[in-house]
Amino acid sequence: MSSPVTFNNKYLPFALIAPQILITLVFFILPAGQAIFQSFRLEDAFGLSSEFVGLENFINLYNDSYYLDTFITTLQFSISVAFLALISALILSAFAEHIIRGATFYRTFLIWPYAVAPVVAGSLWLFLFDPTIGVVTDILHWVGISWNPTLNGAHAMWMVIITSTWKQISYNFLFFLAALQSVPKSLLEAAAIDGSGPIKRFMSISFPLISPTSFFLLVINFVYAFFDTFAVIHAMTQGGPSNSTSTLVYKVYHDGFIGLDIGSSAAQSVILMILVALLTVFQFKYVEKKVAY
Amino acid sequence: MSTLTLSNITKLYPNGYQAIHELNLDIEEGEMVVLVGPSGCGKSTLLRMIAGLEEITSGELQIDDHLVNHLEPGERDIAMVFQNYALYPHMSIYDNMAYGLRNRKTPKKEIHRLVTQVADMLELSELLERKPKQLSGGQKQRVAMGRAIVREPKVFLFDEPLSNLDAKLRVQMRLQIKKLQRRLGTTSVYVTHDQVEAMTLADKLVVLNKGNIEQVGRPLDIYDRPASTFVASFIGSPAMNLFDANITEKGIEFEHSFFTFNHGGLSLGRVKLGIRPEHFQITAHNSWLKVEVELIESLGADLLLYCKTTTKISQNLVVRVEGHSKINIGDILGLSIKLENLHLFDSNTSKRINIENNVQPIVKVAYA
Amino acid sequence: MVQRRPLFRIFCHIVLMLGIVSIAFPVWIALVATTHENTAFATTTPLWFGDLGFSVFRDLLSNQSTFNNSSLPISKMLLNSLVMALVITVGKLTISIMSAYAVVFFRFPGRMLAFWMIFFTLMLPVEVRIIPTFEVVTNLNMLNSFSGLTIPLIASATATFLFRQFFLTVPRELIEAARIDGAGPIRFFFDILLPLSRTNIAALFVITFIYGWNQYLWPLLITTDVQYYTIVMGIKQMLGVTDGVIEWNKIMATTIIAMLPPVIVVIAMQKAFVKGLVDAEK
Repeated sequence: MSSPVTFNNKYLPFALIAPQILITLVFFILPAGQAIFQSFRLEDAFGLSSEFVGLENFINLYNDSYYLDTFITTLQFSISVAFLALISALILSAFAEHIIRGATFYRTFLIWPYAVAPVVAGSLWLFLFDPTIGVVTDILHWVGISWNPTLNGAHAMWMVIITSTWKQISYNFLFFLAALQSVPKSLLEAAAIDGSGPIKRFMSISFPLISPTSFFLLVINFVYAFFDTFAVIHAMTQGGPSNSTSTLVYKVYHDGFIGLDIGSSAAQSVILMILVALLTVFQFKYVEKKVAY
Repeated sequence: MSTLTLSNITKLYPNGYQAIHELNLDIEEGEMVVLVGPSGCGKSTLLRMIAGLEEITSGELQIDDHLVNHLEPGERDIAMVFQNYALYPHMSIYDNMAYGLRNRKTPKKEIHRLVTQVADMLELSELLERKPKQLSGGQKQRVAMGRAIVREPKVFLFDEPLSNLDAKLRVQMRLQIKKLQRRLGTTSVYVTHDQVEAMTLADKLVVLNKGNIEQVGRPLDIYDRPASTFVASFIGSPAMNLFDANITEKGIEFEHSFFTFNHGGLSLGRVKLGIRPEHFQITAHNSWLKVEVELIESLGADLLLYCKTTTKISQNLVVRVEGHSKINIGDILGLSIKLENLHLFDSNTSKRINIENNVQPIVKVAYA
Repeated sequence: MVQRRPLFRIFCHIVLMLGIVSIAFPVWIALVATTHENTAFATTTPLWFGDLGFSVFRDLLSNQSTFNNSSLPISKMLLNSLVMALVITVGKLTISIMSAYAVVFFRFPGRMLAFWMIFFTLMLPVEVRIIPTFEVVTNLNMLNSFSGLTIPLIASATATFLFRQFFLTVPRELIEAARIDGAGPIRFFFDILLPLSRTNIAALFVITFIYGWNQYLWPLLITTDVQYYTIVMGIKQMLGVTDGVIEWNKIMATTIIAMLPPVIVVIAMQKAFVKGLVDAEK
């Protein structure tokens, strides 16, 4: 929790921690509080005053089929991205670990997408998926699929999923590779002596031993897909066509800044906050055992 | 050269555990005091309280008659050698040794003079530019000592500095520490759990047990006249043999032998009898004890015989004899000892019972 | 490995190569696109280089090109991104290391409260509180300014936690030796703790720089003045044009320019970065 040896100063620690606490209060705690406050209010048409309406905003959301759709969209999105990104990264990292020599070379060229901004990724893939001139579009035509993400909701969804997956693979690869490399060599050698081939060794020894990492990445990927993909969606589809790619986060932005429905947006924010809180607590309790008190 | 005085020192932890109980100790100028005892006896805690790394719950600590309880470690003018060396990994050896002096705003020239002089003394001159991780264990320990010496402090504190070294190195370093301390004459407090280190290094030996001092004195005095069964079995290797015996009107009854003497004042009942392994003599006639040899350990210069008394009570004991004695497993031996090598301890308090004043022990031996 | 299975190894290499190729594929296409005239994009995307070479890049960077008849300050946007990323990085590292130091090495009233407050921010990514934070920033007159771009993003908890975790592994004897050597808390911090934290600082530098450079939602919200646009935002503006010819070559060129600095940083500091990231989450 804290170092066994501590210093005895009275004022220094306060001075040290003050900047972070100050900024946290002004830009985190205060807005969070305000979001909660605003979620219970409804603004009038001109935005001049607001009145307390209790849980009305929340109830409206509950009854709003669009909002529920958004939930489902977000879930679909998260699960798909998590699944695809994890499987691909696992296979790639397993192979990279196996060949040992050259693993660093492959790692260099597989992790750089981490550095790419989501919106940049969106821009790249938008170009590839463009209904008229995209390269991937051409390939899909060739296979018989007429691809148009501006009209077809499912296509738009896939486009966004693939773009996000592209970025996530590199992050997952990094962690999987590190985890696989830390499996004690002696275990694998013992298995080899017992006659197991590389695939069998992976399935029966490496994979079970990296399960903490796998679980951790599962949660991280899920959280990422839930909250971090605003940029991709805003750049590529703006939530369309007809809300098919509108995720929870995007809807908060859309309703608040474009629809100017502060109350509803705030209520959505609050719901998101609760979700994040639950996921964070979950992550710390089961995944990170290091937060000791 | 400074004196150190500990008065009624107590250490009580917040969870209620009392590590040190009202301890009193006087340390003279230039003395090498060794604190020895088993794990958990409080010796490290005591050292750290002297250093200022642990708070003194109550009592007074004085260095040169100045109360220092509330001074920071850096203000007490002490230096410490740690078990794990505690060298600053990112600094060169020179900088490691110079750091304390720099903090005291010692002028650069002076620092250079001191560091090179001490490095010379410890044969570290060629290593001054290296980093700690490039050094061996023994070298690192010398640097740790150098760092302490360079400060020219009032007191040296050693916290089990040799525990991490291999056996041979430990012996070498032990000698070096002793020589250095003699030469520098700095008052030193040395903590160890190794009783060989304790015996060889100490001017004054302090045996600790569960936060209390069991005995203070010169090593040989403690060896010859241990104040309790704890000290008796802790100091000396192999440990002193402790037997159950009875005080009757006839005298001390032990394994069918009697030591008859004027025991005026001694109450009747059980006692503990102590005999060191090297004090047994093997006699063919007039032996007091008959034992059977179960196991033999040959150390080269000595033989250790692990025996069992042949009576029904069958107590275990260890006998040390010369290394080339012709003894085999299964041999039955007759043992006797000189009376001055007998130790008596109270069965309840474990404290030493002095029998020297009771004159004229008459030994009559009768056994079955 | 113990066994020798050359065929399998070759298979692994092939798969990994394919992986690299498919990851790099979008960037390849983008690069190719920058070398063609926009007319080439009428029906399909070319797969090989065209004739324009790096001229598109040159024009963009020297602010000579126009985009739908409005001049596009690419260099300015790059500069904004750089300033923003660096300020966020230096700012975040500084206050995080100070807070971690306070929480680990001192006991003071309110310590646990402060710890939990900082922990709490982990649960509040900016996406979750955009409107109220926007209001706060507006009220403080920080819109369209560098302070507005950077300060709200400086205080998140991950760096603090990483430093805290590292500080807890510093052997206690090192601290004690320093105290005996007369070092107070400030000296200890600069002479000993900071040098020992070098790897962590390097790794966090990379992570935070990328985080700062790639910021999207926040700059989008609080800047309306083109002078304060970051390059990452700028791309979106270019994509948002609906009428007229979409100047793909310029868009792709801007995309690549926007992507380069963080990628270079990651590749250059790969070792420290990987170590930091993997250790951070452990």
